[in-house]
Amino acid sequence: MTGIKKYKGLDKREKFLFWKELFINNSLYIFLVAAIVAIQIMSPNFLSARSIVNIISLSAANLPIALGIAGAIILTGTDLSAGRIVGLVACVAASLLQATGYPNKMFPDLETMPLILVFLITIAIGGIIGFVNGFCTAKFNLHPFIVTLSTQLIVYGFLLMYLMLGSNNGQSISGLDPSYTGFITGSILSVGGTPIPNFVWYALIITVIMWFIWNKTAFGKNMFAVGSNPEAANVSGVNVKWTIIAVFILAGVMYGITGFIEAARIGSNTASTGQNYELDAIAACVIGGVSFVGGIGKIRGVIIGVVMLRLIFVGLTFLSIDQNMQYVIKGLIILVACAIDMRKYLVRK
Amino acid sequence: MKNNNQKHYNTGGGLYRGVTVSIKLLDAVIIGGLVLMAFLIFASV
Repeated sequence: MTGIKKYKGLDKREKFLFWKELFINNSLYIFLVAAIVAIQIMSPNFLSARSIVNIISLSAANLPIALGIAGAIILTGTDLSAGRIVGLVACVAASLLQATGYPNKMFPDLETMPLILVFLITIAIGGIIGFVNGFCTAKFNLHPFIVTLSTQLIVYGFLLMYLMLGSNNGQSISGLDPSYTGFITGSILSVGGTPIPNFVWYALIITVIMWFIWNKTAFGKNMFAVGSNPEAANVSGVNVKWTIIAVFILAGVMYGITGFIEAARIGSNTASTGQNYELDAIAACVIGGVSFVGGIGKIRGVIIGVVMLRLIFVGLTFLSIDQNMQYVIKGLIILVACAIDMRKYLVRK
Repeated sequence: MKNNNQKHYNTGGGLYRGVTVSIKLLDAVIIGGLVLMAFLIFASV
């Protein structure tokens, strides 16, 4: 009510500025919603039950990695190693969970390991690489861009070497144990005859946990404090270095979970698994209002960003738009989202 | 309400540290980017 009264008290020019600000700050959302409506008109099957379940599934698969990267962005950083960590973890998980008796087994003498053990191994791999990222960023005061660029290359090298182990000789890893694929891609609920895969529920659980960590724990509050002003956070008694390391470890764990899900979702894992996933995740975060200024971001924003991005790309595929052109559009979305983010920051100043 | 037509602002933290940029230029990038995206999508259909 007070907002409406305040608006009515504005003169003509101030009202114009108000609407201009509102339009420009939300222009990307307006554009994406308009594009989705236009795609639905041109291709009426776009928002069918099957297509919506597909969009939700693809969004759920990308959500953990986006939640991990969002933490790094809140610290005014980024994480370029995310996609390669997902790839390494996916290949490790797939190699340890190949079905017994599969002819092209990577380790023929190895029994299929328990799911929980492999899950813990994937989390540990992600967490250790995340620790390296965080340690180098915090202790050496390096920008995460350059640290994660180097770990991206290191992880990719390890991934290629891992694929040469045993009798695999660089081939894709497939023939996964049915208990593993069933755990990830099986379904307990259908919508309009289309089954919702289990990993959607896992993504939901991870999102709730991340929401709790971000909003209800001292660590979450410290993360936002360090992101908005590390000097002030330090003076206030926040352990800045440990907070940075912990954020990257948490991000690594998220990549580990994504890799564990992705291995079973894809079914056939190669060195290119996870490639460029970090770009989609960064784009989703920026669209969702996680600011490169630092200290600004919400879990719901990340979810909106991931779903919006997936909606638009599934829509473009529906319209049979060239894959190469989709890269151009993806780049433009990131550029516009960054310009809006910067503009919001400047206007606040 | 703040007048956003002032010429230049010096940005503060994060990736935008030390950047001096005009709001009007950013508006042009935002509007131009959206128009270009719309053109590319509908020209490719």
